[in-house]
Amino acid sequence: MRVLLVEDDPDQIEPLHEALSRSGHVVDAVEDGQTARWLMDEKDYDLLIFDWMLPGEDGISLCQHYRRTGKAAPILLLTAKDTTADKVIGLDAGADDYLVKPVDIEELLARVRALRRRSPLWCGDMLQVGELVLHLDTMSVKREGVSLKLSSRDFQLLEYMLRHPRQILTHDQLEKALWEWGEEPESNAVASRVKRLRQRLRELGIDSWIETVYGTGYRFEPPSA
Amino acid sequence: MASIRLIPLLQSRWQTLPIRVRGTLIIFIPVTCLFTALSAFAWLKASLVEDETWVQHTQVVRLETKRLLNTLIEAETGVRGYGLTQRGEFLIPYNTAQATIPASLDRLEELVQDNPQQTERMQNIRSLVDENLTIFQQKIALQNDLKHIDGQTDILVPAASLYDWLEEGKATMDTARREIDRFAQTEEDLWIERRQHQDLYRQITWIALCISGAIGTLGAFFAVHLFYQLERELVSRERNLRESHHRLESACDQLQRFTANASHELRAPLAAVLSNAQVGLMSLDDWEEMPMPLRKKLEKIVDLTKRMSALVSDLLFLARHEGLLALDSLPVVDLNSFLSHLVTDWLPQMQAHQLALTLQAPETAIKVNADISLLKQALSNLLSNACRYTPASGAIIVQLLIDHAQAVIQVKDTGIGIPAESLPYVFERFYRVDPKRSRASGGFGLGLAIAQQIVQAHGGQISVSSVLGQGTIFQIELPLAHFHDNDSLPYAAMSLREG
Repeated sequence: MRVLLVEDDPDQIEPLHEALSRSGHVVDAVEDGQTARWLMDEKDYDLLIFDWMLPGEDGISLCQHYRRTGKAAPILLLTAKDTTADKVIGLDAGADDYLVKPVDIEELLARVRALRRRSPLWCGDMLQVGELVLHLDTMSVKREGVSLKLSSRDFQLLEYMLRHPRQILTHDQLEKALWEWGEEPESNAVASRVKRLRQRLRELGIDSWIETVYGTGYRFEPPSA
Repeated sequence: MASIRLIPLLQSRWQTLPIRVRGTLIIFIPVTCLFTALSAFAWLKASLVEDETWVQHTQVVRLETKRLLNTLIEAETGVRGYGLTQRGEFLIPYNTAQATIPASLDRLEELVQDNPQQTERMQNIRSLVDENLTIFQQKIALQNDLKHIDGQTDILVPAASLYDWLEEGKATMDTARREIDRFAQTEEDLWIERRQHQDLYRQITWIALCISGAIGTLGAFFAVHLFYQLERELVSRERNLRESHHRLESACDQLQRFTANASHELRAPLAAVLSNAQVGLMSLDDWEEMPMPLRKKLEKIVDLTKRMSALVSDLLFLARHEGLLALDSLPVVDLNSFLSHLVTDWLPQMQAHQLALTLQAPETAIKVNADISLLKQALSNLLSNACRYTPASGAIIVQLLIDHAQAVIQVKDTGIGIPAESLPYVFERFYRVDPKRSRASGGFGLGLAIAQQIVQAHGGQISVSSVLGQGTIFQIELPLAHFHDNDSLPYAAMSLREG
């Protein structure tokens, strides 16, 4: 999932970023309201996590702005404001969930999973192509009874390919989908990640499912049953 | 010197009096002046009237005395003339005197009977006048005898005997006249004295009128002054009230800002510590061999941060909910259904601790005005307390009843109990019966303080009784709702709002 995380305190955003990345999400972490606003206008996100008090533009007006643009992805407010009145304001501004800091990371990740399930794009806890099953919650891949836990980077790439099977995925497309905002991929970064994933999948006896389309990119091509 | 010290003393005494008393006193001043003036005037007027009566009375006595004297003198002159001329018409004044003098004497005696000295004198006059009259009578009788002799034989009456006859009674007559004069003089003196008295009183009346008028005016001015002073004081009091209201409002705003800031400032570092520690724990999972001591330490950090965060929440809660709630603006809560929902929510946790939780409530609905989420917090604190200090296979009973027109909620447990010497302190902030034990079970000693603050904010009372080793009873008493049933919202709707 592509997540926009907005939090002005570097000490807080860093572990949240890491925790979400570890759970297999591609996280754009920004520390101010204006950048967040620009990003959410430019890109499509599956989930947005806002702090309330931010420099530039606060989380509430980000919520309202996002809802005004007609986008439906779930928003989670993560704030130190804990009164019932604050919660009502936050939820009325368009947030789908409200968590009071300090939040237990386990709980945050569970809420994120819950929000993902509520998303209109939701199509189950797993992705299946042929006999290959990818479990989104555990980031593990399974084939013929053999299960393999993937790193978050491998998981992100495989998830993207499973969501777009039999399509040519260009380098540029993959870079945009898998690299976080502000992170410059090196020239052969996509190639090395694909190479790594191919190695991992070979452990499950899967070979040559990821085809190289010369000069363009890659295609996930499971053998038709 | 004494008066200089007296004035500020009086002023300060005056300022401490309640407004009602001061207002009454201010009205009292001119009213008293008016009544004093009126009564003084009435008294003086009555005195004047009395004096007038006395003056008239004395006048009457004087006239009567004069008439008596005149009558007597005329009688004497008449008798004398008769003696010289023997003509009957000279006896007319005498005869008149015979008729009028006793009546005149009686009247005079009656008039002066209030004055013993004059009465005595009057009696003296009466005897003298009587004596005179007797002499007159004797003279006339003698004259008649002479005439009779005259008629029979022409005896020459010697001149000497005639003079003797004339002289006879003169001394008595003079005494009577003197006596009457003296009497009249006394009456005259009395008359003058009474006239003077009357004049004096007339003057006094005028002076009294002027003085009471002046005092009344001064009193009115003083009253007006005091009234203005009172008004100024009221105005300044109102200004003070407005100022203190303003100060209170700003203190309230300040508190709100403080709690908002404190909430942010305290929670931000806690959030950073907690998530860093938890992400650290997640990273440990990637390691091939787990360094257990490191994991333990991180877990400890997570645990402590969570407790710290709970403490911050509790303290902020206490700071925010100080003071009494406006009970009338609170919704009516049906305690029966509220408690049954609460008990249902707590059942799983109680079962996990192997504790039996039951609710005993009457059939009739018991309703109070309450903030549902606050009341829930208070009862949850009591239940969590009971759960913490009751050993496994114990029982916890929540009982609802009405006692002395109050809704009573009891939370009874069969736990370890609280020693009697600790009972007075259990509602104090940060108080722990057994510090070691509480720390191990995760309490800060704020739960009961929060419960107490909530109950007191609802105008209720919380109390505790306990037997060591047998159990503890916490009792919440809340004032019953004033019945306007249409306000009462079903519990389910309320709990949705509280989210």
